[in-house]
Amino acid sequence: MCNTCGCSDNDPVRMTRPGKDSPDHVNHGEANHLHDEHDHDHHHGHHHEHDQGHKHDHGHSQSRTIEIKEDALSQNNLQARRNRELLENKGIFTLNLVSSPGSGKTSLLEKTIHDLKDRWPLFVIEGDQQSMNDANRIDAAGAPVIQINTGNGCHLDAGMIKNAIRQLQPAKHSLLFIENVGNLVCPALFDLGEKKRVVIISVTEGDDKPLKYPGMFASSNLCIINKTDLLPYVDFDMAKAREFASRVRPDIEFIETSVRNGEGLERWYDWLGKNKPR
Amino acid sequence: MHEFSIALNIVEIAEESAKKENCRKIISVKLEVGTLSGIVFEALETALEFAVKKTMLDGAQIEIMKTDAEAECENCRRRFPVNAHFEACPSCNNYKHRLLRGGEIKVISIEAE
Repeated sequence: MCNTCGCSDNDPVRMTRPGKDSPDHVNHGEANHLHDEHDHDHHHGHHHEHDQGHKHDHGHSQSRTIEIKEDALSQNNLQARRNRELLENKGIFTLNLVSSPGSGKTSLLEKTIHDLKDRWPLFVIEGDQQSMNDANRIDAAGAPVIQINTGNGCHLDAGMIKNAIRQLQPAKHSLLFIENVGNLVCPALFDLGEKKRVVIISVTEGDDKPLKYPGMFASSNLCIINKTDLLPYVDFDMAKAREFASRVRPDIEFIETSVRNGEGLERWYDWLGKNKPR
Repeated sequence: MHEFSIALNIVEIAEESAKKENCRKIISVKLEVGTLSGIVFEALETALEFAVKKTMLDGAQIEIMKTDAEAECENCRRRFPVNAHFEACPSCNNYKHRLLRGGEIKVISIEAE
């Protein structure tokens, strides 16, 4: 069983690039996982707090208390820090795109690739439980892409990203988009090593999404409100949605977009250009 | 569902610590989980029931200490209990606050032999 993604041996995490014969199977051998952050040999050089743990001998039995005080996400956080360091050293601007299923993440990416691929080198890591559908769409749009299939996993984690980066080899000074598994809950807790987190909602969802799933909005830098071309047909209150998201995270930025009619896309591209390291 | 990956991490952290102390069995584990950690307590308990099977924690007593979240207003510095990320400061009604505690998911200690 994979300790990070929770997948079973019957439904393991797979990494596949479009046009390659067989998936690059992440081998989850019990003895030696490929994910760094659960390498059982612990050669990752980080210092566990429990190294300084105190022992208290209890007279009545041989049992003793071992103090640990370690964050349950410490290994993911450590790997995320390493990913961030590696990516930043190469001048790669990495974005973690999170949303519920169907907000239009992949369509926005397709359009972005179409419009920006001559301006900057673009790379994509796609995360879904199953299928190559999104990777095939990104491949057709013209960006190098790797698909992570998490099997039963509900989120991407930093170890998966480490392996995906190794195989995808994003170029120096490129933009790397990570499209997370469509889920507004679980991915919030897992730092991948991104520079910015972008939460995407669409006007066909409720305008109270930020209050229902505050964890995701609290951890995001930018909120894209997509499918604005549908506003005349739905009861979505834009001012309310923005107010709710700002309550959760007062410094969150907003861009309203429609991939269909192009509204707001220039603002999105400007935002990327402004935040991309020189 | 992410509670399951977190449960597996907890098992690994506990086992590593026990092995370092040459222990073979873990009798109990003490966890500290904040009310704004993004964890559903019941889901974590259920996940742990499955995650401990055939590990050093099989049969161990698991104690989850709940930490109530507390925030500090970035405007007036008032400290107040907070039940959700979107709560305003009760004094100045500002939404910008810093979480002081309640976001943690920690393995505090184990009892092992």
